[in-house]
Amino acid sequence: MIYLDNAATSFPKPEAVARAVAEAVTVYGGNPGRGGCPPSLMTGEKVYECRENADGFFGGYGAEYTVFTSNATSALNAAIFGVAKKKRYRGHMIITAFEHNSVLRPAEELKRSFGMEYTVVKPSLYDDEATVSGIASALRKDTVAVIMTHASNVCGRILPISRVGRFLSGSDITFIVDASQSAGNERISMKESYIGILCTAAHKGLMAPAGTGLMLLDPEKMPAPTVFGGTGSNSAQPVQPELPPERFESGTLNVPGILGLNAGINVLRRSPGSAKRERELAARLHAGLEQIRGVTLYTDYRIDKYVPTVCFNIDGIKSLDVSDALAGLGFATRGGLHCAPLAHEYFGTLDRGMTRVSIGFYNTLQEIDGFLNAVETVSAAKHG
Amino acid sequence: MMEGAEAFCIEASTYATKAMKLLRTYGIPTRMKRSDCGGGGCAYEISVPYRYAETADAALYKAGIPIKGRRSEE
Repeated sequence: MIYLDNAATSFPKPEAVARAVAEAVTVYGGNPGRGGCPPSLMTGEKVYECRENADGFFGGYGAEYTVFTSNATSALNAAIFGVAKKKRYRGHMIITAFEHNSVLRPAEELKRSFGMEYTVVKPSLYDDEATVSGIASALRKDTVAVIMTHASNVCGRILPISRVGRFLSGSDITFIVDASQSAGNERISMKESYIGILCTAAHKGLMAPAGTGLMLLDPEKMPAPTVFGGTGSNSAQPVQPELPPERFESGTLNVPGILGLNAGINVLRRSPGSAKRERELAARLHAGLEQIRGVTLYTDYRIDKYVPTVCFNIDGIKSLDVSDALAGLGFATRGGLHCAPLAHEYFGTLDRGMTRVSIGFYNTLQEIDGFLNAVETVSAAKHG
Repeated sequence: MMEGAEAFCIEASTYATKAMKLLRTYGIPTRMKRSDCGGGGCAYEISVPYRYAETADAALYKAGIPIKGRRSEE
């Protein structure tokens, strides 16, 4: 099976990641931040190493402001509900039409439970300034947060987070960025982009195992904690500790995942050309799909404006059936709505979804050309 | 605790590890262990030989590492 669903999770993982995970369960078996025994202290040092590595990779504010979560959804929930709680559940939020349900559903829940309104801004596929203007126009006096994906998990379009961040800097508004689709493929600096809270999955472009995510914090924009429990610190007190990251990390950490994440980041650091290569494959894919009868594309692919994700439909066949047929021909893709109904509303595909192809670290030119042949086969069966 | 050492109490694992790594870059030998730091609940103590105490204190302060307390043993 040729795997082209890296936007869901990257596969395969690098050998170094597999070794790190194995080491976590055979060597670094202590519970970090809990005991004072050598296994616990040793494991704590390895976990700290990953914090430093992730902080450096994302241009953050220090290892102590790098919080491990179980995935991007838990990071985004912590950020969004944490900001809302800090503002006593009053105010307004802005999201974009490219947001995943991990942003839309918290926003909707805050609206239903507390009356916190939110505005959905439609990004432009062709004009970043229009996207920034759209967000600026949506601002209200009571806006407390702008939540924006760095890249769409449906169409791959990269949004102008630096411009938005710069626009919002100096205000009281918390700028929350979902980097799940861009982390590892597009350079991100929290400081340079004035990001208040950066949330990401670690198991996609960062190539860690599933069950890992990150929330990086600007010390000036820290949310309130929303999960409470054991942190291995200040145990005599019935309240959550004041200091990050433990303030936001109740419960035992996913040490195998974290050590795997550390290895994944190191692989990326050693592979500076990988993102460009993946995007070039996506450009070839897009160009090839344009030539196939019956295929509908929804974007123009540009290497500087898109992560390596392409979406399409074959006229007359539901996207889930297209993905099913492609799987039968040996290619793993994802059809349907991709947990992003607003994006499908944007493209007019809410009724049928799209087939999404997301290229990863290990995909090759031959695999892309083979995929194009497979799409041709599926389309020809319908259109001749 | 090392003989003739100064112990710095730091609340949680992340800052304690940061402190330990920082002091090592100064060439200061360190030892980390769990402690209740005199009754405040679970925390960590980073011990350094007494002759490094003031250097360590200054380094930790400069790095913004919050110290809950310090104690020495002659």
